[in-house]
Order: sequence, then C-alpha cells, then structure tokens
Amino acid sequence: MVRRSRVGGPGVTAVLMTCRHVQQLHDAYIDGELSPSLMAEMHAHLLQCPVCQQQVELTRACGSVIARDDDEPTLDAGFAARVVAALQRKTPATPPPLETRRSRRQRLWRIAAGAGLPAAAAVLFFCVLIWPSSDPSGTPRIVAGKAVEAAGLAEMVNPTLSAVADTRQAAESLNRILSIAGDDAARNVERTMQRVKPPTESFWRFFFEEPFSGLLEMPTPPPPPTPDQGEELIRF
Amino acid sequence: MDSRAATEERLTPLRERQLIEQARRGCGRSAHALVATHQDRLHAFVWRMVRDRHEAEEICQDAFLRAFQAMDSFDFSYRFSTWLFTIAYRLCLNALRRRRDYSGDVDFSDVPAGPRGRKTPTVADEVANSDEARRLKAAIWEAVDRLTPPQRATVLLFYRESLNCQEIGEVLEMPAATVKSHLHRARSRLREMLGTEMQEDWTSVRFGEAGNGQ
Repeated sequence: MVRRSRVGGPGVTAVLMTCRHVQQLHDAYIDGELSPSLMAEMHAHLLQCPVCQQQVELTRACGSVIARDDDEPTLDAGFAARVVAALQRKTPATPPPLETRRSRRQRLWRIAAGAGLPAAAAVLFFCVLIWPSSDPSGTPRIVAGKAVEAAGLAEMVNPTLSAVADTRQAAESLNRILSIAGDDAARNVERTMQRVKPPTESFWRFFFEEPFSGLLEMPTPPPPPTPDQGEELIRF
Repeated sequence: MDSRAATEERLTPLRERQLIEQARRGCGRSAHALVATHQDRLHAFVWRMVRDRHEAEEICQDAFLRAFQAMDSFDFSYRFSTWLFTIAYRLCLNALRRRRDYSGDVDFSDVPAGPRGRKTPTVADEVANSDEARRLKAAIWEAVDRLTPPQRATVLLFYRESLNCQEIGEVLEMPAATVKSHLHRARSRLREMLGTEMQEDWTSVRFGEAGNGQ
C-alpha cells in the first residue's frame, strides 16, 4: 500500500508520493506497469526530487547500454560448418526414432512375425515335401529351399529342415514299403486270377454271386413227415 | 539488437519447424541454417555470461550439438531459441562453477551511496565524448559482470533478447515471479555499484533511449 503525504491548507489537499514509495514502485514505473494515476504521481515526485530522478535515469541508462551495445566478439564464418561436421561425426545420418510405448509394441510384433516366419516356412516345406506329388524331380523342394535362402533364414530354418528331411525320408520309406506290398498284393491277385479262370461272367459269378446265392434265394421248406411211416422222428 | 532480431525474424515458425524436422532426419543443410540463424545471438549471450572468447565458442558449439542430438524430444510448442538458450545457460553455469568464482550473492555493503542535496543533471542531455561514453559503458558492463549468474542472465535476456518474465522463466527454468525478483535485485545492485561512478559524468554522456519496457 502506498502511503501518501498530505499537504496544503484546509479544503485544499495534495497527495504526494515519498522517496521510499518511489523506490518501491521503481521497477514498475520503469517497465510501464503503473496505473495512469500512479504514473502521474511518480512524475510529480521526480520533478521535485533529483535523487530519485537520478536513480530512474541510471536504471534506464543501464538498460539502454545492455540492450544496444554490441561490442562483443563475433564467431567466424566457419562456425556453423564446424558444428554440422561435429554433429555428423557424432550421430548417424538417420538417428533412430525415439522409442515410445507404441513403437515398442510394434517392434515386438515385428519380432514375433519374424520368428514365426521360419516356423511357417518349415511347415510349408514339410507340406511340400511330404504331400504326395506327381513331380519326381523335387522341384517344390528346390523352390522352397531357395525361398528360405532368399529370406536369409537358413540358419534358423536348417534345423527344422533337417527334422523335416528325416521325416520325409521316413515317409518315402513308408511309401516304398506300401508300394512294394501293394505290388506284391497286386501280383498275387493277378496270379490267382490267372490260375482260376480268365475273368468271364461265370468267373465273376463264381467269386461274387455264388457264395451269396443261397442267401439271395429263399429255400423251400421241406415237407412235414407223414405219421404212418413208422419212423420215429426227432422233433426239435 | 535490431540486426540480431531481424536475423531470427527471417525464420517464420513454419520455416523453423521445417528446418528442425529436416535436421532430425539428418539433413546437414537444414542444421547449418539453424546454426547460422541463432549463432550470433547465442554467442553474445554466452560471452556476456562467461566473458571468455574461447570458452564462449566452445559452449555455443556444445549447446548446438546437444540441441541437435536431443532434437527428437523437441517440443514445438516452444521456440527453438528458448530451448537453445536454456541449454547454453546450463553450460554457462557449469563453466562458471568450474572456474570457482561463482560465490552466490555479491556483498555490496561497502559500496558508498551517492551524495544527496547535489544538483544531478539528466543523462540524455547531449552527445558525450566517445572516450567518456566507452568508459561508462565499460563501467556498466563491469557492474553487470559482478551480478550473480541468475541476475546476469535475467538482465541479458530481458534487455538484449526482449523476453518477458514468463519467457525468461522458461529459459532459466524458474517461475516468472522469481525472474521478476532477480530483475529487481539486479537493477538495485547496478544502481548501487554505479552510483559513485556516474555522479561526475551525467552531463557528458548520452546513452540514447532506454531499453525494454519504456
């Protein structure tokens, strides 16, 4: 609160600001933050007080020198180039982006997808190798192998491929066994067919219809025995 | 001041943002443009803080490098110069502490007060002798050098960069009220230190119009 001194006679008063109050309002006056009425009071005081006026002028002079004096050394013309050169030595051309929680989740998804790719490739490989194929040249296997090599996943996929290859070999062995057995079975059937009869209609009937002819035709029940024949019949 | 302000005014906020984003992606030309725009003002501030030419250049280069290396975290709601000056101010404080001449508030209890009752002319009466003007300017800067680093930085940013107390607070990382207190205290100390220096030379020196806030 600004205390004021009252001067003048009865009915006439004038409010004057003291030096102490001027010191309190000094900065606000310098920075133009006072109300118009306070500014007027300050002006009135300064006109009558050389000491306070000197203080205000000194503050203004300091501000003026600080603001306008440019008598400091300047940087040479190559400064900016040196900064950029130092920056390029310290950092790569494309600094990695700041990892946020969202980018961390995306990175984990990428890792999972990358880890799943060899597994998917192995499954595909297995299907290609084991699935019956009419192409004996092994082209699907060659294509799958080249795809794995192109993806740079050979190190990760090779153990899986080895296991798949073993399984493939087992499957091939089984196929061979079945084919041999099948061949033998087919030959046995053929020999049997030749020994019995050439395949004729009666042959087919003998093999497929005769065994079932008794079942296909309803037998006629035998006549009941006559009582006067004198033979005792066993009745069930 | 006008020339320095004009240099930065060539960069609009949109253009500055473009340069920053390009510099983030490693564009050397954009980084060069940002450095060239701010180097003079930054160097002037740093040199007035540390008063050593070699050290001032090192601090400026270090400030730019740190600013670019942390560019990914730059907040576009602030001006690039504010961020740059903040980094430079911290580096200045480190340099002054290493120098071991930062002792906090300076004791001016032995500074004599000016005489009372003597007619004191105004400052801006007539053009002064150039030697006298240079001497008084040197006296003012010497008094500024004797301020504490926060007071000195406040005065420099207030008068030379035309920042308000809020903006100064962002650079110095302190509340605006604290900045205002530093400014008030700095002005008081400058008057105390320069009271006797100026008592003989008011009529012979013209400093022109006062700086910020008039």
